[in-house]
Parts: sequence; structure tokens; C-alpha cells
Amino acid sequence: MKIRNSDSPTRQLENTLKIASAALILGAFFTAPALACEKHDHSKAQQTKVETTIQSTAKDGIVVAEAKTGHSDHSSHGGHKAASGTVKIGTPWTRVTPPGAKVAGGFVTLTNTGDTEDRLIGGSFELAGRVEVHEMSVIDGVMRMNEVDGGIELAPGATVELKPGSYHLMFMELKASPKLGQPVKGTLKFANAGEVEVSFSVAELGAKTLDGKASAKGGDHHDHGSHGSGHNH
Amino acid sequence: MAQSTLLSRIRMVLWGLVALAAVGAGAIFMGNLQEAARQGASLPGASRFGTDFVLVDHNGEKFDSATLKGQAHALFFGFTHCPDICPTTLLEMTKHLEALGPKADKIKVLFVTVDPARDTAEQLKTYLSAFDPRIVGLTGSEGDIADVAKGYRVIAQKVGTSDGGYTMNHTATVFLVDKKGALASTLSWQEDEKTRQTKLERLAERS
Repeated sequence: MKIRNSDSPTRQLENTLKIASAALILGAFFTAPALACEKHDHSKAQQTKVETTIQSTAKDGIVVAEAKTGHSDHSSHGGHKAASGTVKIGTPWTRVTPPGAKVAGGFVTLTNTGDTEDRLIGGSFELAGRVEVHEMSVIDGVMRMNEVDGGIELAPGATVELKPGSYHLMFMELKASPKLGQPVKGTLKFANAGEVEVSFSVAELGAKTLDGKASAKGGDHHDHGSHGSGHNH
Repeated sequence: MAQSTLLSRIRMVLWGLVALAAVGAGAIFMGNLQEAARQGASLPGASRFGTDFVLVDHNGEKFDSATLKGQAHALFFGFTHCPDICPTTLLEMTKHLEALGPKADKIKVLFVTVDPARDTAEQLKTYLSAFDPRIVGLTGSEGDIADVAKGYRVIAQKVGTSDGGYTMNHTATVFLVDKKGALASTLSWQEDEKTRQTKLERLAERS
């Protein structure tokens, strides 16, 4: 942007202001969409990152052991601490299913306290014809369900949580719906530790945790105060 | 040429202002977009969402999407051989409808099976009896369901299990469609309950 030789300083000032205002308008026009784009890309990148994290969490299923292992000490639900070999088993649980449901999910926290790797390869459930080890994930809004080939790896010292939205035992060919507060007998089958008899506590329909009510949604968001009192219609 | 040095300084200052103004304008622009998205405003370019269909409801009655004209609705796909996300979403919708109170009547909730082979009208009726009675279950022939899935651009894929059976991978998003038939917003089960409730309140208020 060169200023042409002009005769008067006033003219020069005028030119400068003209350029400035033109630039201001142009600048605003070009920069705003560019910024928007940048921001958009940024949020996309963030989203991808979050998904990757979810995926890898689901894949490894490893959670910080310290906080979670405490769960197995809950005894209010007739908590059951089975230990075989070197796998510490938290209270296994399932949920009431809607009538006519042919499947249910089984959940449990497992900690390998030994020095060698083990694997959860299956189990049984008194009310189910078959039990498989499954992994569920929701990526880009699509729910995917897969049988976990070879079972869930339990590295030495690792804690793996089978929970809603992640790894779970898939109870298939249900003969009856589990009833609230009526534990159901079953087993957990490990590659090394063998088959362990357990009792699945029954939580309410849609519960996200054994203790949590179904309404205390999303274990990830501790936003319990957000609902309830606010809606008095 | 002292004057032109002064002018060039002024120019530099002005350029600085240009940059500032541009950043400011960009921020305001983004803020507006985000606010609009938060409020569940109609997404740009979304006029008529989904497709017309004729299916069978859980009472075995014909259900024509023409009855949805002028009617805000929440539509999602699932199946009853689903251990987690489908019953959870149905339960959440039940709670949301309850929290909406009388406003709930402004939103029709539709649950379309992606597994019509096993989800007969009867099976849907039994299954849905655990949830809000206003939720309508829809099934149909394999071809009808495939057409609806395609019309709503959802994924519905059979995945074999080791016993020779199958489970379904499917889009779990709840589509919120306004009374004009445009996509108003969506619900995700990864959102917290309050966010979902707010979106439904807004859909009801706009209807």
C-alpha cells in the first residue's frame, strides 16, 4: 500500500484514513470467517481427542486402582468378595430389565493382584442361556457392540471395570428378568484363576452404578443437584 | 517529512485497531453461533429432516409419518435385544417426559426398531410397558426399516455373535424434530441430564 505523491498533507491524511477504513472493513470480513474456521477446526480436533480417549479407555479398560478397588468393600448390597487365584473381584451386579428383554449386562470390577497376566473369558448367569464378554462403545453417535476376542486382559496390578457403556458381560437368552434386590447366582471364568462362583446384585432399571439410582445419571458428571427440585410443573 | 512519519505512525496504530476489531468481530460471531447451538436453534441448512414412512406401532396399528405434520417429535433408533443404551435412553426419555409435565404433550416420542425380525409389535409393546406409555414403538418389514434408516441417515448393522446369533450396531442419537419437520437439535447419552432436559424444554416451548 503505497501512498501516491500528493500535494497536500490533508490529502495524505485523507488517503491514510481511507485505506484504514477499507482495511478495517476488509479485515473484519476476512478474519471473522477465518477465526470461525479456526475455532471450528479446533473444536473438531478436541472432539477427536476426546473420542480417542474414550476408545482407548474402553480398549484398555484400566482405571486407577486405588479409588475403585474400594468399591468391593461395599457390603450394603450383600456384597460379595470372591477371590480366586490372584484376581480380586468387586461386587458383581446387573440390572432389572424391561419386560420381554432377552439380554442384560453384567458388571464387576476386577483387580489382578498377582504377578502374571490373567483374562476374563466368560462366565455364567443363572437366568441366562449364554454369557459372552462384550465391549460397547458410542463413537460419533453410533453404538457399537462387539464380543471381545480372547477375553478381557488383566495385566498384573491392573484393575478393569466392567460397567455400563464399556466392557460388560452379555447375558443372553434370558429366561426371566432379574428382580430388584434379589441376587442372581453365576460364575466368572478366568483363563488362569479358573471359574469363580459369584452372586450378581440387582440394581434398578437403567442404573449406572450398583449404588447409584438410575436418575443419578452419568457417573462422569457429578451433577446431582441439577435435576429434581427445578422442575415443578 | 515529519508529517509523513507521523502519518505512518497513525497508519500503524490504525492497522493495530483493524486487527483488534477483526478479532473482536470474530469472537462475537462465534459466540452467537455457539449460543444458537446451545439453545437448540435450527441447524443451518436443515429444512425437512428424515423421510416419510408408514410403519406399524406397538399396538399393531398403522403409523403414518403424515400424522407428525405440525407435531414436534423426538425420534431414535434401537432394539430390544440391547442391554444398555436402548433401555437407558427409553428410561431417560421417560424421566424427561415426566419432568416436562403438561408440556410433554407437545413432543411425540418415537422409538424405531432396527431389528424388526425380532422386534414384533407385540415384543415392542411388552418391552415398552416398563416406560412412559406415551412412547410409541415402531416396527415394520426389513425393507421398510431399512428405508427409514436410510432416510434418517442412521447406521444399523447386524453383527454376528459366536453362537450364530446377532446384535446390532446402530446410531443412538435422539433426533429432536420441530413442528415444521426441521432438525432442531439432538440428544446424546453422553450429555448430562440437565442439558438434555433443557433441549426438550426448548423444543416444547417452540411448538
